[in-house]
Amino acid sequence: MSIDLPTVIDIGSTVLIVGILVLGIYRALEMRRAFVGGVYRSRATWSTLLMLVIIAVMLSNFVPTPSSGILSVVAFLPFIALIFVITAYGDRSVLVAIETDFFHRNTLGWTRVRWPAAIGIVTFVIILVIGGSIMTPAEQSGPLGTILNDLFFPILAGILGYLTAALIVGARRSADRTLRRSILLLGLALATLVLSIVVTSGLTSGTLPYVIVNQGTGVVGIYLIYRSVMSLSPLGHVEKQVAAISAQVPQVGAAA
Amino acid sequence: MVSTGVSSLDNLLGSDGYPDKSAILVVGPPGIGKEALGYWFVRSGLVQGDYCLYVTHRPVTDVLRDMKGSGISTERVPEWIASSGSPVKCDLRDATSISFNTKEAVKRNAGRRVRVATDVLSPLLVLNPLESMYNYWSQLVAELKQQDSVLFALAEDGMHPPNTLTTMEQLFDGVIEMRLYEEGLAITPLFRVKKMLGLPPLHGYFRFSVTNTGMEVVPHVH
Repeated sequence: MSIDLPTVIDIGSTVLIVGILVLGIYRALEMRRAFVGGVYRSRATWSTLLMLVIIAVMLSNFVPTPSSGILSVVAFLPFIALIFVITAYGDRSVLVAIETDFFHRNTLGWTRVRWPAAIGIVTFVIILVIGGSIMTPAEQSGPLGTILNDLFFPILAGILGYLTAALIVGARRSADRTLRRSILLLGLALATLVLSIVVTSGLTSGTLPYVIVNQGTGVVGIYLIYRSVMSLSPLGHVEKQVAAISAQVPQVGAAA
Repeated sequence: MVSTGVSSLDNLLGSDGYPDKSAILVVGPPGIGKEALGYWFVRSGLVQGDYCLYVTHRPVTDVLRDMKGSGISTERVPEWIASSGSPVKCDLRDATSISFNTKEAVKRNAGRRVRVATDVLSPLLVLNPLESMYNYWSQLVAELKQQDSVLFALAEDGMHPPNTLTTMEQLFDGVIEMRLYEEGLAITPLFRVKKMLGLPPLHGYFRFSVTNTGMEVVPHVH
């Protein structure tokens, strides 16, 4: 039995991505436990949720699902959840960046854009599910379904592209260097997603170039999300000799 | 000595807490719980009848909400210099007025023991040149120490270039560092006392946790 190169790359990168995500989830939860500040706890929680949903999307690719009917919608749910979580987390991040900017500048007019963008995404997903070809076989979906399907990824890339720009600009304006780095890395992760959508739209699914671009941007994007989590707080390393001495301090009691 | 408000930390610092007439700096990344140490310090002062002043770049309502979140009763509150919700405003663009108002409030309460807690050090360091801020804090610390007061200042670890906080630490009698540490895959919140007036160097790390009933400090075994 021979396995072709695209499949090897696909499986290998998927294992790598899931590994990074599992480690990222563990560390995000550890950080969430350690943080006292609401903003940082919230970011750790959102990061965990985002990585869980990405794992769900990746695993759903390995489950055979019908191309039409209600089951196709169920199979589509992780992807819908991913869109909502990415946009919601990105939105929260831009708002935090605005809040931590000393001058509270409205980055790229985000507070005016966010609600129309959210309503647009929700409406489009609903129309796509009901009227598009997700619940209907391709040959029966008609011209409307085809148009909706063709429009979906360009519209998604447009909204995510704008969100990416707002994240990168907002991060640069944040006075909090820790948040700045974390938000910037999240923005760059989204940029790889947008790049992946734009580039792969011109390639044939399953071919070697498609797999290389798709999985390559996937690995880079996931690693950037992991780095974004790890940048939530500067981490130190315990000096072993000093830690050993601390064990000898006997008189420390319990809480106040 | 002035109680920190956390009995286990008092024990660690020689059973009584921070030295009299001192300036204490707590350094740590945002979100780690530095503010909780400040809240317990102020709360302890209010219980003991000290005059307490909280100088913050945040609105009073935000700080009160945080205090409640840290399990601290807000029946008794300190006097405020805050960005909003206080009679005297804290305007980060006007560092001189922050210093003037702080010193005036302390002078009005001469004869009482005074506790001043503040979170404006980092924002002021971001908005002003290091050299001018060094002189500014040096003067403020010196004048407050002439009264019977303890200054408790918070500084954000991830907000400044590495040498900035090292420079500012020289002005303070005590420096406590709080941060997250990587140990294998685990991430642990630890603190250490980098220096404290009247104490020999304290080596070692301490694990801390902020709960809604208090703060726990225990030696960390690596």
